[in-house]
Amino acid sequence: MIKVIGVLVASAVVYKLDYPTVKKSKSNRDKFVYWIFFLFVVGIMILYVLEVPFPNPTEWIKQVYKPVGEPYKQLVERIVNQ
Amino acid sequence: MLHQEKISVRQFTILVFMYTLGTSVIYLPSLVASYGKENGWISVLGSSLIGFGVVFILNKIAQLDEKKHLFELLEFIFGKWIGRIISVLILMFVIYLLATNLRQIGDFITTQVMVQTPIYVIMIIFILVSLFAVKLGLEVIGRTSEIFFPYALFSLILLIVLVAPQADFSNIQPLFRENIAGAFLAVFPASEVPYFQLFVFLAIFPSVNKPDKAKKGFYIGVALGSFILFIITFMALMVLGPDFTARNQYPTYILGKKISIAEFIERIEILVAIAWFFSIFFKLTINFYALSLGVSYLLKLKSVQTLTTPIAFFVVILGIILFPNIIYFMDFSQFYWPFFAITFGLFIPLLMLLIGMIKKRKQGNGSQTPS
Repeated sequence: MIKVIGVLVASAVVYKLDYPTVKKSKSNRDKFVYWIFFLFVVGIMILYVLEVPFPNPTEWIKQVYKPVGEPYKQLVERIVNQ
Repeated sequence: MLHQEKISVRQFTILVFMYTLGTSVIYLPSLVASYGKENGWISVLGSSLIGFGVVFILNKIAQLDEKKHLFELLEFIFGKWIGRIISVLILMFVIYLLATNLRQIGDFITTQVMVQTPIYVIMIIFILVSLFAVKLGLEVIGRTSEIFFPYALFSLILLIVLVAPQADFSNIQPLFRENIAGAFLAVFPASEVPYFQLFVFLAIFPSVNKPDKAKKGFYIGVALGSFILFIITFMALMVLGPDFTARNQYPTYILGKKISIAEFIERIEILVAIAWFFSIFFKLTINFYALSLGVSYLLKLKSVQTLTTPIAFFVVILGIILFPNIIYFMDFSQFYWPFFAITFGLFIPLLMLLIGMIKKRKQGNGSQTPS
């Protein structure tokens, strides 16, 4: 719990320092998108400090490139470790 | 308009040079030595030729419309919806790249320099500096590059000069006898790191004040960067030997440890680390700038800087969760990352060039026929 409070306090400080630079643009769209992104990232950080397991994007990329990656791996191992 | 700031051709050239050195200055010797053994330096030459090819394609794309940046060009070439989908894919690649680079510097410092420090502290410090630079804008990044360029170049040249007396030609003999196939195979993974990522520069190309001279600057920056990479790989192979170079993860850093002047001035390897800090700072910053430009353009925001702070903290978390350990990272970066990079670094630019040229020719005919 103390970690979550720590993250919240830290994000409040960052918000306090950072928000004036967004406010300067005088665009409601900018402010709105900024709030959504900020809340999203704070949510992710809270999940991270609570040690919730995240899906790993690297595994997705590996799945996509498996048809070329696997034969290439075998080729490299055959040529380099002969 | 998202890009009103202007940088000079010289600043652009220095940024390209720094980006080319980027992370590869410290990883490349190990990679090519593990594939080609004593002929590893051939792969660096081969990959720089590929690099020139990539720059040629990128310059041609920039010529299609010199006032449009990467994401505007994508929308112009592929139409509204397909262009946006490709833009999102490219942004995912760039954020992945940013997180990986951040993780690499974190891994380097926590294994070699400050062993007891937690990795996220290092990552937060580095991303905060980049965040500050992106917040201040492209002009400031350009001027910063002019200030730091001499230090980075001087410390690398100093490294090469000071380590030269220990070079031993027998380490790279026999020439062209064994491991030739490995040396040619290494061209593919060796060209992924700086050259297939250069398309990011299309995002800042319209900000250069003289577009036609910037094309020449692009070539000069890549040539100078490739030359330094080549010399450093050559020196690592000659001083450390192929086996030792292949077994170390950071051979350039070990090369710095070999410096010894009259057995009096020793252990000045942090020189290498300083040069690397500068080059990776510019790599992070340019990727970060391109990323925030793309996000702001797609979401139709007023300013490039709006979303930089949330993105910065997101990237730190991403950098930690992407790779559970270093073995996983090495496996991924050797066998999957080259394909991932070539998709965005070569195939999409080629497609852009082809469709863009067809489209431009059609438009040219269309305007001629009514008159």
